[in-house]
Order: sequence, then C-alpha cells, then structure tokens
Amino acid sequence: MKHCLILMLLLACAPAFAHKPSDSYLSLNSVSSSPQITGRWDIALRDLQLVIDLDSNNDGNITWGELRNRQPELAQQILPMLTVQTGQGETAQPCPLTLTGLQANDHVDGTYAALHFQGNCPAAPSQLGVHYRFLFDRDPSHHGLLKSNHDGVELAVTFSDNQRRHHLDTSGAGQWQAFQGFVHQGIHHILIGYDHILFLLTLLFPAVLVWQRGGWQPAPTMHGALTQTLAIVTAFTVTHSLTLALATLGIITLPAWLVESAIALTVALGAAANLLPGLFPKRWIMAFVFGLVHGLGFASVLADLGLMGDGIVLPLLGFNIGVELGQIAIVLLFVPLAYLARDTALYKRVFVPVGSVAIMVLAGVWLVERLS
Amino acid sequence: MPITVSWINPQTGRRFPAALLLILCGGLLVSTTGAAPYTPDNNNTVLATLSDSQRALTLASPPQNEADALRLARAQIDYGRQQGDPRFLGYAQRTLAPFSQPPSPAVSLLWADIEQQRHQFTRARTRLTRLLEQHPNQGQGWLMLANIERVQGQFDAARQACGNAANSLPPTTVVLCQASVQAMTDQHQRAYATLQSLADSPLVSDTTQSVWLQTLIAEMAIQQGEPERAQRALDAALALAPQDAYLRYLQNDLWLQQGHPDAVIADLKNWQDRDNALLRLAIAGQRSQHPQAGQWQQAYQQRLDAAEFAGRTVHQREHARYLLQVDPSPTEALAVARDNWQQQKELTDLRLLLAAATAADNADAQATARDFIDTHGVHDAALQAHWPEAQP
Repeated sequence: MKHCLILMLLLACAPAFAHKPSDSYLSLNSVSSSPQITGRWDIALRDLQLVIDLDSNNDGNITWGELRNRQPELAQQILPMLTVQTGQGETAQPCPLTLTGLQANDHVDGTYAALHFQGNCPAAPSQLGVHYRFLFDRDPSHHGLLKSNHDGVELAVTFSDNQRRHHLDTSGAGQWQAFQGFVHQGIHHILIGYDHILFLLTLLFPAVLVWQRGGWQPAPTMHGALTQTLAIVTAFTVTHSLTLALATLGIITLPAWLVESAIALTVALGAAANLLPGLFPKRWIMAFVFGLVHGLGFASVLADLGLMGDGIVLPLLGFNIGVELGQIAIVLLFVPLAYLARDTALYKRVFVPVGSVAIMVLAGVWLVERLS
Repeated sequence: MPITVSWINPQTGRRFPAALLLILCGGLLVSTTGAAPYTPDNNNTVLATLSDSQRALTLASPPQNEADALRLARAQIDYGRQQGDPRFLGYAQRTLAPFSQPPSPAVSLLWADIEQQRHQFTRARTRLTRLLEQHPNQGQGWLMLANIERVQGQFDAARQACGNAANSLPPTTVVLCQASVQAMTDQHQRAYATLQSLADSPLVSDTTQSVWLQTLIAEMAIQQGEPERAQRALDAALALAPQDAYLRYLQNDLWLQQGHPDAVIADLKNWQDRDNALLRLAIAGQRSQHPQAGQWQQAYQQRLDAAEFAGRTVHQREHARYLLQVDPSPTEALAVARDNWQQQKELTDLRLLLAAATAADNADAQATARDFIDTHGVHDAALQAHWPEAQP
C-alpha cells in the first residue's frame, strides 16, 4: 500500500493523459423529404473488444477477418445500443436501424470499426431523438460524439453516461440555413472531388496557349485565353448541371462503378487530348460531352446524403451553386497563374506534356481500380 | 479525403507538377475527424494489438467482493497512470461502482484519486475533506489532500494536511510531503537542505520513498539552477524506477533545457502513442531540425484537435507549452496558460504563465505572476531568466 501511496502522490497531478480517452464518432444524415436516414458509427476496436470478444484465436491481435466474422454480433448487440426515433413524446416512433456495411477507419489513436447503417423511419423525420447506450456499463467515462446533418444543416452533440439522450431539434434551421448548408456541401465536394478538379485543370492547361505549326504558342491576348476558359467552363457547367438534376430526380440511374469508371476515362482522354491537340481542336466540345458524365458523379454525393426523389429542388440548386463556386475558385486560382507562365518553356514543354502524361497514367490507374 | 499525392515522374525525375497544384487545392480542404473508412484487402491484416495487461485488467465479469474490487481498481488506476491511458480510469470507476453506496474509506480514496487525475480538484477535495472528518487516521487521504492543495497554490492548507498525516504515517513521509510544499515558498532553501541530508542518511531505505526523495531533489536542483546536481538525483531515481513516466519526462525536460534534443528523441521515440512524449518530441525535433519534426508536430496538433472536438480541456498545461514552444502563438498561449493557472499553480504552470505573459507583452498577466511570486517567496532559476528582477 505504501508503494501505491507514494507513487500516487508523486505523480498525482503532473502528467495530463496521453492516450485519447474513449470516444466513438457517429454521423447521422437525414432529410425532411425522405423517411430514410443513413449513418456511420466509428467505434475503437479496443472499446468494441470490451463488449464482444473480437480476438477469436486469442493471439492478442485483432485482424480484419476476425472483425468481419463478428458482423452478426455487431448487428444484433452493438447497433441496438443506438436508437433513433422521429417525433417527440407520445408521437415518437422508432426508426429501426440495420447494419449495411462494415469497414475499418484510422483515427489519431488507432483503428476503429466503421459501422455503416441505415434506418427507416415511419415518416420523413422532422425531429430526431437519439438514445445512446454503448459502453457506459463497461467504461462510464466513454463519450459518443455525434455529428448530424439534416437537410445540409450540421449539428454536433456529445453523449455521456449522464447524458444518454439528445433531441436533435432541426426545426430552428430555416430553409435559408439549409440552403447554405447545401451550398457548402457543393463547394466541399468539388474541392475534395479530385477527379473532377483534375479533369477541369487538364482541359484548362492549354487554355492559355494556341496550337500552331506543331507546337504550343502563348495565347497572344488575354481576351483569347479568357474566351477559351469561359467556353470550357460554361460547357462543363451546363451539362454536368443537367445530368446532376436528372440523376438526383431519379430520371437517370446508372450503377456507381460505371459512372466512376467513366469519369476516370474522361480524365485520361482529356489528358490525351493535350498530347494530341490536332485531334481535338475544340476543347469546349469535350467539356460539354464529358460534363454529362461528371454530373452523374456529383449526383452520387447527394444520394449519399440520402437526397433522392421529390422535394429536393432547393438542396439540388444549393448544391449545384456550391459546385460552381468551388469550380470558379479553382479557375481563378489556376488560370491567372497559367496565363503568367504561358510564355515560359517550363509551362509549354514541361508542365503541359509531362503533367498530361502523369494525369493520364493516374487516371488509367483509377480506371483499372474502378473496373475491378 | 485530403490529397497528398506527390510522386516523382520516373522519366524526368521531376516532381509531378500537377501534384503540386493538387496539394495547393488540398490546402483548401476542410479536414474532418478521422480519415475515410476503408476495406482492408486481406483478412489477416492486423487492425489492433491488445497487451496482456490490458486483457488482464478488463475482465468481463466484475469482482464480487470489495477486497478484489479494490485490488483491481488500484491496478487499473496505476496501469492507466503508467501508460498515460485514461480509459483505465473509466474501468476503475466501473469496478468501484457496486461498492460505492456508500463507499468505505478505501473506496473513497480511490475515487478521489480518479477525480484528481481527471483534474476534478474540487470534487476530490470535497470527498477527501468529508472522509477525513470521520476518519482522521487515513494518512493517505491527508497526503492526497495536501497534494491537491499544493497543486492549487493553497500552501498553508497543504502544510496543515501534511502535518495531519503525521499521526498515521512515518516521519520521513511527512518530511517529504512538507518539503514538496516548501519548495514553492520562501522556505525552499531549508527544504532543499533537509532533503539533501535525508538523502545522505540511512533513514530512507524504501525504494519508492527513495524515488520520491530523489525526484524532489532533482526538481529543486533545477529550481536552484544546479543542472548537474539535478542530473545526479535523476540518475539515482531512474536507476530505481526506469520506466516511471513522470521521471522520464522530467529527465527529458532537463535535456531540452540543457540543449540536448537528440537525447530526447532517442529516449522518447518509442513512446509516440503518449501525448506528453509526442509534445517533447515535437519540441526536440524542431530544435534539432529532425526530419520527423513536422510529423510529430502534426500528430500532436491532431491530438489537441481531437480533444477539442470532444470538449475536453485536461491538456491545458501541455497545450500552452505547445503554443509557446512548437507553434508559437503568444496571444493564444496566454489565454490557455491563464485558464490553466485557474486550475493548477505548480512551478511549471507559473513558468508557463510568465513566459506567455512576456511573449504576449501582457502587463496584467505579468502582474498576476509577480503577485504570486512575491506573496509566497517563490524562487526559481527559470523564472529569473525570464524576469531577472523577480527575486529581491
């Protein structure tokens, strides 16, 4: 006892804790136009281990195979520790959750199990009640950190042993706020959608140049460069907006792998066009045609947010505006720099050809990955 | 998904120019908690490793009697402290829960220990005061109370608590308790002399008491500006307890102070999962321009972000130090150092407050530090370096 006593005193308040405390990360997406909610729940494997024995062969290691074999327990024991309902008080009705997928995810303090789930509410949720009961009986200091997204409006709450229920009041979020949320989503998704960025940039590489006598020459005037840029961006915008709307409204449906592969192909072809400019004289036509494919890709983002079908004109519009804003930001960043650099050998002989080859290779890799 | 592709073109050996652009764009990205989930391509991919102690200390069925529960909770708290892993405090809480209505004195002490480790000082103090009113012979309780009072700068109350422990604890323990308090007051010279003579005497033979004694001497030697004496005491203490986290950090801080960042990197490289080690690695890496410096800094910043996202503020002392020494931001550092000062008033906290106040050129915070120094007669070489006229 003396040992503990002195050690305790010695170390008492000095070091703040090193490992992260136990937290799970929960995201919940809902829209007022659909009864379906989707979400993901990231749980540290160490925490999961306290409830289900994941280390089947008892060797001290938790492997992906061992985790995967526990899917039935995850669905029957873990997921029920989270309940979601729509409405409040006596009118509250449950939205039964089902496990739709399992992945792994690396957080700052180690690997987590990522549980993808889906819930079907009896009616489109206007308000959500969430009851979180995971792990408190094993570790009362555990926290569940929830980020919800309702009609594009984000809300963050924390569950703890003393606060196991939260009511996500989304009514305060007005339509304007929801709209802003979607604009934000649109900007976010064009900026993280590297294949879209790469496609656009590939087309814009030569926008500040003209192909003459078998070589790239700098565009003689700002006017010429701007006209080319504007033609490309407008053509891309018109067609991707069109297919984004058609896909989101459910008029066109194509499997995701096909769309994703086709996008990779457009990037590769765009890069090829830079290397063989003689064969593709009108780049805006390429932007126009391939924009159709990219619009389908944007639509999958809205679908991931649970946004499909009726009553989504406003989110669709907001999202589309966001995509265009993000696109304009990229153009404004790239084109002036390219314009200034257009007369240099580095730009004409290295940046455009080498960059295009590299992009073609990269897009080829994506294509193979997405087709397999 | 953040973009960090930057591969070298095999033909030209040049960095792929578009990748630079991508990275530029990547800078615009909104970072989210946790990267994107993925599907491992192999069933044998190891996702996590469980240590033996971890498995032994997280039994599925909780102990059914108080004696077993006390042993397990004690082991959980100690292991958590040793590993710097706060989950074990939660496990100990759960182990103690069935025996806490109402708790016996032994259970209360463990609760107070959990609370003070979580920096819930007020709660721990209330709990201990109530316990000691009824059981004044709980010497360990007095020591814990003395420690909380000392950490919070209530030196008179701390000395009194040390004195109250004399009825139930050996005199050497009481002397160590008193010396740890006197170190922060104008009694520091006397306390330092007492400790040194205690070290030369055969009175302290118990290992853990010796570690405590040598640690106090090391800290006071640093305070006196005697790094060589401090190193000798640290050597003695580390010989007895080589894996002791507190001692290791003290040693590394001394190395940093003495300009040996390479020693810090060599010592802590295998402790990267601990925030406190990571912070020191970030400092040492930056000072020695180590290739991994940026990586350590980023990792520590991520830990801070994660704590902030979860609404936890237990890391204020380290956070302030980070903002002073790794990613300098004087105004922000001062705000964190001031919040920390509300909670903790140890020498480290005073040094941080004064350093932040000086960096931010804030007279008000400087006066707060100065008042504290004058009121208690604090003497510290590091403080004097910041503020030569701090001592009369």
